[in-house]
Amino acid sequence: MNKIRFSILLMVILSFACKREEATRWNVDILSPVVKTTLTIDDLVADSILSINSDNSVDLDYSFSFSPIQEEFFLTIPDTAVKLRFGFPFLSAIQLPAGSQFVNDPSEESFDLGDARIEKMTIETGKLQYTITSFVQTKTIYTYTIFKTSNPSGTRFTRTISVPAASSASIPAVKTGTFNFDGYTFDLTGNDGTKFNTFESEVTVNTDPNGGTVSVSNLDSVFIENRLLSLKPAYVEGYIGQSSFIEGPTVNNFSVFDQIISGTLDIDSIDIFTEIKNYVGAEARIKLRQLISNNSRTGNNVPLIHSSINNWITLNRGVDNNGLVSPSINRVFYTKANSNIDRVIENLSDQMTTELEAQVNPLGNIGSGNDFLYFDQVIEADFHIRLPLKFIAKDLKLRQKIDLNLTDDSNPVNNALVTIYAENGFPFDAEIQLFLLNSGGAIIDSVMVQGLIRSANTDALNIVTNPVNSILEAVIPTDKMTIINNNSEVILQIIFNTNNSPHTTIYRDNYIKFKLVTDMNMEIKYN
Amino acid sequence: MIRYNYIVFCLVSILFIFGTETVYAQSDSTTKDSTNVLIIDSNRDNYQVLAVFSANYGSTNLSNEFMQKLLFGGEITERLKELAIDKTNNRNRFGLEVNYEGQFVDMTDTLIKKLPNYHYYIGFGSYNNISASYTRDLFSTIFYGNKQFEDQTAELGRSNFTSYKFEKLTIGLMKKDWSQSFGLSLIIGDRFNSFNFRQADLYTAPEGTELNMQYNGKIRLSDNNSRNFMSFNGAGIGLDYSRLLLNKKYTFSVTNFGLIFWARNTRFSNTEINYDFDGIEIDNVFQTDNDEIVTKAEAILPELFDRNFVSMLPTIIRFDKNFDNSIQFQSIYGVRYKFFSNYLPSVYGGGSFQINKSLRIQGSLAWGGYAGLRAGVGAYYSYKKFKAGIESQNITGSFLKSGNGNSIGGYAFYTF
Repeated sequence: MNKIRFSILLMVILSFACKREEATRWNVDILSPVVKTTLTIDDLVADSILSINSDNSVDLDYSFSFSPIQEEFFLTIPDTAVKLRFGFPFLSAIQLPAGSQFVNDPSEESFDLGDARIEKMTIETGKLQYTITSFVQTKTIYTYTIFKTSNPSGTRFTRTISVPAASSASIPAVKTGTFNFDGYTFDLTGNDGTKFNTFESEVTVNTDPNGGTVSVSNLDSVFIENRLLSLKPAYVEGYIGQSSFIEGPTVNNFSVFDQIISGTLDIDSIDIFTEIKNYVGAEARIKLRQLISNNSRTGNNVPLIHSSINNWITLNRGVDNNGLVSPSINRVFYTKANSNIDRVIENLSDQMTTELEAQVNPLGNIGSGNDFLYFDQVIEADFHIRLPLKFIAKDLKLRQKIDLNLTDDSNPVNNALVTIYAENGFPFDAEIQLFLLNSGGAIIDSVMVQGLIRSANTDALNIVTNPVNSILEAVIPTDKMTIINNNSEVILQIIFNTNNSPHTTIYRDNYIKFKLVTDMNMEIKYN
Repeated sequence: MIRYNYIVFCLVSILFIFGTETVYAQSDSTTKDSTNVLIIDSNRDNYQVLAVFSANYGSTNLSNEFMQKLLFGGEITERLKELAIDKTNNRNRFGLEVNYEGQFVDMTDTLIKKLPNYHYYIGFGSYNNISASYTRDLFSTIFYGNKQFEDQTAELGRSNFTSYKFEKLTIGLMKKDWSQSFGLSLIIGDRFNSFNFRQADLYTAPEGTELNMQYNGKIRLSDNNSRNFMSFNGAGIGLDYSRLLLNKKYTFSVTNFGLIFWARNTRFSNTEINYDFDGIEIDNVFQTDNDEIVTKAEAILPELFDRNFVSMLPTIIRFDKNFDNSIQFQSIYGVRYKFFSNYLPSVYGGGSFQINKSLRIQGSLAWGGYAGLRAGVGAYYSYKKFKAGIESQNITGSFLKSGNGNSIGGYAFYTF
């Protein structure tokens, strides 16, 4: 026995120098406040949709954009090939000294742009791809120029290419490569300035100035193929042609009410409109083919009924102020009187389905070729809601998923009694419940919070006169703590109730103070 | 319900001080006594080499099982806590020490010509100590929590925690007749963490709605990112001195008298705070993150500054009756005290028996230090120019069920 004990002693001594393989741990009972916080409407609503009125009452100002209208719809520049055969005009061979130059006649080429008649175009991105096949048995130098072009510093597009000598009369030298057109502006009126979609170019050929005399004849041809590829315009002017498109049906997320899962919300008033902005320097018209409020939780769908549905809205052309475009703006207002918008909103939808149809230059070239188009700004359509937080809520149930960022390793609490001390300065009652989820996100348990956060005291107009204190308690036993540790995402559910009348207004200075006190058994652990 | 890990961190930090490095101790090995005797009896050869090792831990209220789990891992169960709390008084101690030393004495030469009666010696030592002195309320709060103190004040103050690790390189002079020696050491500091809570009164309001802490304390921390062997986080000097008294019958010695200047990445606090804690303020509970909670939790703790500091070495002073190998059975006794270590003065007494020419044994009872009353045993062997010994200062702690510590030490000595 003594040997055993002494061996244990030695092992203990040796372990002074050894790394610990097990954590030291024990359990303690802690009674302590944990966190406190004050919530106002600024904390509950994103700044981006919060609007404060002069009397400190609060509006939600929410909007979503319809699917962006694709700029490719308006004008697409097809890839364009320019092929040249350059031949020496000598029936019999002659001797050319070094550096001899021959100039090909300038030629005009056109883009196929349908009915559009573009006179000026600025390229955002694009490139020139060339292939030169030379049968000349000396190095030759080619210069390619496109007239009536300029980059942002005013320089015309011109590039020089050096092509090696052909190996023999039957084996040509071939050279390929690309040049970028990014930022170049093309005057597309051609050589005489009266055409459209047209540009003029020229090729010159020099024999090597440092080479020897070379013998050439009309058999020593040069084939040049230039391709203008992937031209993406940033700006065009002229007549941009007629075009039309249909966008949708598209399902748009609508997050104003997406946390509300049940209950009723009686809204005092609401201001809703669709705003359409035409940045195109051409007449257009647009038709809202459908707008449907979808509540995916209840399955209820409420289509908007309004005179604008399936009827054309004419859009005047935008005005170009030296690159700064003033759009023409049209607003379509929806009221209880002219539509069923109240039912659309009170459906508490989480999605809106929209479908649009649009036409550009529906009446043809009535602008006499003075259209313009900046491709980064075309037609925008936004759906706006301005909702004053003045309402009657009855069992309005909101749920929000929150992540407590807890794991079995990071959360030392075995079980806890959480006491919530609330000082409510909002004019509504609130009940709280916590739902626990499995790893798949399904609700598998809940933590009942006993008690009610009672509404602040209010006057006859439901304006807060003084806050009211409440105490709530929640027991989190070990098995529920284990669920939280396995998946720390939980759903916080709050049920709101206001007085039945009049409509309750939320002000920016309304608040609720929380203090959480825990009576918890936790594990102290260290390595 | 928000992010308990940081809340727990905060509470534990406030209530229960600062973790594993907070306990402290020094040992009370008598191995050095044996060394003294050994040197006096040694042959007059040219050189002497000595190696000493000691490791021990002890406590006035913690059982061996408790301490082993505290030091080496494992669950401290409710049963272990109950055993400990039953033995907990107003003042309690815990200590751990792992030390080793080596010494070389050149008997052929003198270092200073003007002192022809002195030989020189060189030495190396490594000292690793953790010790604690704490109140019953502190122990109870750490291991049971503060719930038991609802609407009461837990007095956590008058508690000290020290963690030390340093090496020393020594050169010294030893008188030819062994009657006196001096040593001067370069001290290389690896680690020094000290928490001295002069006052720490924690009041837990009814239902836990508020905590109040009246705190007055000093915290000194060396660089905890680098504290390995010879890391030079601090440097200092130390002095050793020993003298034989009353016809060489007794030895008076002072070991490790000196200081260390800590200057690398040090943290320091010496403050008095009256703090009311009613929760960590969160700006927006829906948008808060862990960093915000940690930052605000840390703000509650005493603020630590970047400031260099000086710490005294744990200086040992002792007075021992020397062993006379011409007497077969004789008494042994002595007293020992270690400064700056919350150490209780330790007294010991016992007997030594020479079994034969080569083997001697001894036994003793000691009181004080960190482990209270305990028994020690030792066996010492001598053969020609080689001598060795092994002993335990707390053999009762090792063998009794309610043992409160373990100890082992040994030495080897050779002359040539």
